[in-house]
Amino acid sequence: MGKQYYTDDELVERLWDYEDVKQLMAKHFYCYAGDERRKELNDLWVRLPQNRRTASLGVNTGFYTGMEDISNYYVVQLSDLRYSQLKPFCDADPSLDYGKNNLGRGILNNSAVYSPLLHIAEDGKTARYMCYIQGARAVGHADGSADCRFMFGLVYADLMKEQGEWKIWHLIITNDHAIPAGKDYGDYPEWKDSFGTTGQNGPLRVHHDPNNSYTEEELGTPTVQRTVYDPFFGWEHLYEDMPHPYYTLNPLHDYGPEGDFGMPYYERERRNV
Amino acid sequence: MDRRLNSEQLLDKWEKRRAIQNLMVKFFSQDYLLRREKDMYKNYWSKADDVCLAVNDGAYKGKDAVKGYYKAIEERTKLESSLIQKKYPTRLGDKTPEEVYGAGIMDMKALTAPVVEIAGDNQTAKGIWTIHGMNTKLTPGGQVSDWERGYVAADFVWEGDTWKVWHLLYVQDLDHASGYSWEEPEPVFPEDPVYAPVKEFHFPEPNVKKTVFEKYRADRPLQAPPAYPEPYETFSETFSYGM
Repeated sequence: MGKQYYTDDELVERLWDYEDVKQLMAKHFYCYAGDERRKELNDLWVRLPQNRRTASLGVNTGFYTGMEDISNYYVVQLSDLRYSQLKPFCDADPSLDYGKNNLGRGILNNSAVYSPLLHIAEDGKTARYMCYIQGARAVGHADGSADCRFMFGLVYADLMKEQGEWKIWHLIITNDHAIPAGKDYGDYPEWKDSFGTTGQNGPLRVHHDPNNSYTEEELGTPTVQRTVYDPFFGWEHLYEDMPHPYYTLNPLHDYGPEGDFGMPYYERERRNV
Repeated sequence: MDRRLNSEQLLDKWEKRRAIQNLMVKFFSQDYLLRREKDMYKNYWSKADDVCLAVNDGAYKGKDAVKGYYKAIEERTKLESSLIQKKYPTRLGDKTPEEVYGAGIMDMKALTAPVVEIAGDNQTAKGIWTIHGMNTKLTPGGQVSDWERGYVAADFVWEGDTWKVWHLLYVQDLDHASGYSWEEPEPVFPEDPVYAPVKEFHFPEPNVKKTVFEKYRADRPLQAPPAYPEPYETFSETFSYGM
């Protein structure tokens, strides 16, 4: 039940706000699964110039800010990666065209989205969203082998109502540890010796990384570099970051680069001072 | 939110959307899990002649073909149940075929990420969901647990006072034994004579043979999920999940 100061019409609008935001985020996951990221940026993200300048995409190692940097990472870098993944297939089979129509060969990216937490601001202008991902991800190789992993993470978003339509403004895709399909969780590789754990939650590595969902180079070089999510600490720093009921969005606590997402409590306290 | 509608119409549309969500949870999550295949066609499908159920390697098009799909699941479940009963005589031996129906087999298909659109004319609707499934299959080597990943998308039609499934697209990215990497062939376990008859069972082929969606393999071309629905006014304006 909404606050008493909402009219019935306003309550109906808020009911639909919740529906529309949930659907918008679901569409993000379908675009993500199908490598349809250009479509996602065009259709689902903010459109007004002032919002496109402040839009951001957070990954474990920082924030891409502004739609140009977001696009360069989220679309162009992925395309480059897909070309590099396609090359060995074309080398092995010269009849296979090394072109965009064959990008994504050997790729699986299926995200099951659970436990969404969503609050619409009382002023109705923004929304905050969080969910858990239980993903299945695979990268195939020309020799018939594949790197198949269960992958986990939390996704956060600030959404904004632009001209009556909800749009993604700040998105954070955290990547936690990954579990290779068909391998025993207890047999997890190298961190077992280094950290005395069963192996998950190691720092990111370059090139092949058996422990994490993504390698360091896949996360690229964010515009604003800071630790947004460190798998080694698990999600304990994110307790304050889940969406809570709010009146209007406070930029100090939003999911963009100016916010304090992912900071340890002692860094947040220093900021507040 | 459709701003042409007043609050009463918006609430009606919201209830229609909620009804679609409830239908799919009952149909796809609950009834597969609870082995209600013999009632699925009757309970959920449209009376339309052009009903269609598309799967990875083709489509069951028309009433008889769709009914035949569920009948085959029912027959397979009867066979599996009877074999599992033989395997576990102490626990299951005294049960009737009805009582033992569905024993030892699980089809759990959790649905996530719904996108549902009700047509402006309220006569049809469209939706898509991601499937995160955990299933058990009976093989000649015994019961094998599978991971299932995929999508289910549907066109719905308003019949009487309820939504019915008109076209269903049920495709799998993965349907693979747990404990094995997904590019590897399915494991073959030593045959158990009790379960051997299961290899004689053959599911009916789709009457429209077509590669609709390829399951994962190391060199699979990119398989984007089925398109999610966009707002539309009437069905002739949009695409169909049927074949």
